Amino acid sequence: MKKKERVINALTGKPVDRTPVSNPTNVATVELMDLVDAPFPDACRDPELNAKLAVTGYTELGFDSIAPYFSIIQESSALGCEMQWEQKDNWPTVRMGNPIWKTPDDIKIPSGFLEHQDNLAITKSIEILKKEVGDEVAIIGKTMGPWTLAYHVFGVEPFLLLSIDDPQKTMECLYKLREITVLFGQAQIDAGADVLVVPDHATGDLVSGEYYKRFLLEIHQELVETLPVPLILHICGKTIDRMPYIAESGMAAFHFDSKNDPQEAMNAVDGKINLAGNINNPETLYSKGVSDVKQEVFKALDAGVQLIAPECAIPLKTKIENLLAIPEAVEEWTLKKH
Amino acid sequence: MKPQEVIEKYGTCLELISMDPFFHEITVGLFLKDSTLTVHSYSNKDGVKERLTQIRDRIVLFGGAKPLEGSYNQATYDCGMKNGCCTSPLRFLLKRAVMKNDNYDSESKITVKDLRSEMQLYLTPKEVEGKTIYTVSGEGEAKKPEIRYRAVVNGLNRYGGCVKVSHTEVSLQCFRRNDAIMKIILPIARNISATEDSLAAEDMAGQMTTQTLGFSST
Repeated sequence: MKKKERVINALTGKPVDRTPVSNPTNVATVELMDLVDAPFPDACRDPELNAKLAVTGYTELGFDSIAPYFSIIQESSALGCEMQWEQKDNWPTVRMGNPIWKTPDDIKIPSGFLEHQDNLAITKSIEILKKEVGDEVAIIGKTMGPWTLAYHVFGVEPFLLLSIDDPQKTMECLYKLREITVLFGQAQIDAGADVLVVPDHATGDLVSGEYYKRFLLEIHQELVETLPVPLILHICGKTIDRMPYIAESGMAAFHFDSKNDPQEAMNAVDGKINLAGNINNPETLYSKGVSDVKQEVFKALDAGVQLIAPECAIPLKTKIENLLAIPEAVEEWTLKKH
Repeated sequence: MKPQEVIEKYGTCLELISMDPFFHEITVGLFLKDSTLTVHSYSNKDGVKERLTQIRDRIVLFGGAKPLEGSYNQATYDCGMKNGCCTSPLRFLLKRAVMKNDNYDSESKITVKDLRSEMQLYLTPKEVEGKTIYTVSGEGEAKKPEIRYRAVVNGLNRYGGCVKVSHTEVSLQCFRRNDAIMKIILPIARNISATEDSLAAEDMAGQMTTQTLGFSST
């Protein structure tokens, strides 16, 4: 079975020869940047460098998918947010302390949004990757959900306060920002993305499960109807309380964090959505060794998690041997089971 | 070399320095297989081999290691590094070797200013039945110097993988004399909480979490 078929089958509930090793979020590291001479932040902004780095997830690590959108800031940069591009060993971020908008009326998609350098870096990269890998490997694009975009353009605190003070205005914001999610998502599909990840950070740290149901569930259901590829929702943190709602979203999978026990997560979604995850980043992949990584993979597989993946974008200093251990563990587990 | 080949050839990666400030910001790794340490980079930039040799040579100088004959990027320790001996300080040693370009002073004493008192701290080696034991001492004002010595001994155990001989004495696991490596460990060992904070901050760089993204209440 080809890698792409394995990923798509797992996302659409069809049989697979083994559980796919996917990367809904980044698996690039500082060493891989050196290997292909494509360091951050340039690899986030230049399509050629982006594609060179992204493909290493397949060529060097043996994952079943390629994810060229490494960070979470491309659209926000194109919208005009103040950026901190950082350097090779750190993530570019949006300076949310200086938000660009205050009210729903401010939300306007700039002309030439899709032609902005930082959006083209992704869409052009996907085109390059598609030519390079064809249908061998799944190309996973990424388009930020409206909640994440709202944090970036309004600032975290102002947006959360708005959600308390004026839920109606909050919904207005989210619906307007949803257009950006669709626009950039569709552009990546047109470029050749087989799957889209939708990070929408209604995290357990900041909002309740009820918030997800109230503000996002319907929007996510609409995204599923609008974007014609399998969608993977990503929310960091503890999310068990909202998993039953997420399971109703119609998304193909939910990419979940290691703060959630895999078996508990499987029980929470009750077979209504696939799960992707949830190998711990800061402790296991970053600090521990190969055998610890494998144990976590086995735990997720034993629970029935349908796509094995690091829980979120991996730390850029992650040692490659720990990443190689993920597909190795899946192979070992599969051999043992059959 | 591809990553899989590097791991097979050089073993486990003990430590990575993300950006070498003296050579094109390449990433430098220190690998260990059996008793061989290898300084490696995936970069193909011109001159990388010479830079790796330079770093290996600094590990030899500042860490008291031995260069491996016929190799440009490998070293070892006389003790054979059995049971993790001499590996604990390598994280700090690689950092020193890559991030600084200072000269090694083989004549200088093993000493550092204490951060919790006015004392100047010393580590003094002595030979006891063929084993080298280092004694912690201090000069200058301190309310309770013995508490500081104990704290330093704890730090040496924690970051240097040393063996505690008494409340004021330690040795390396191999009981060999290695003043160079002790010069690396002592400044780190003198203040565990500051070192922990510094290590935690280093570890957070390059992590994407709800905290680093600003999507968290903490």
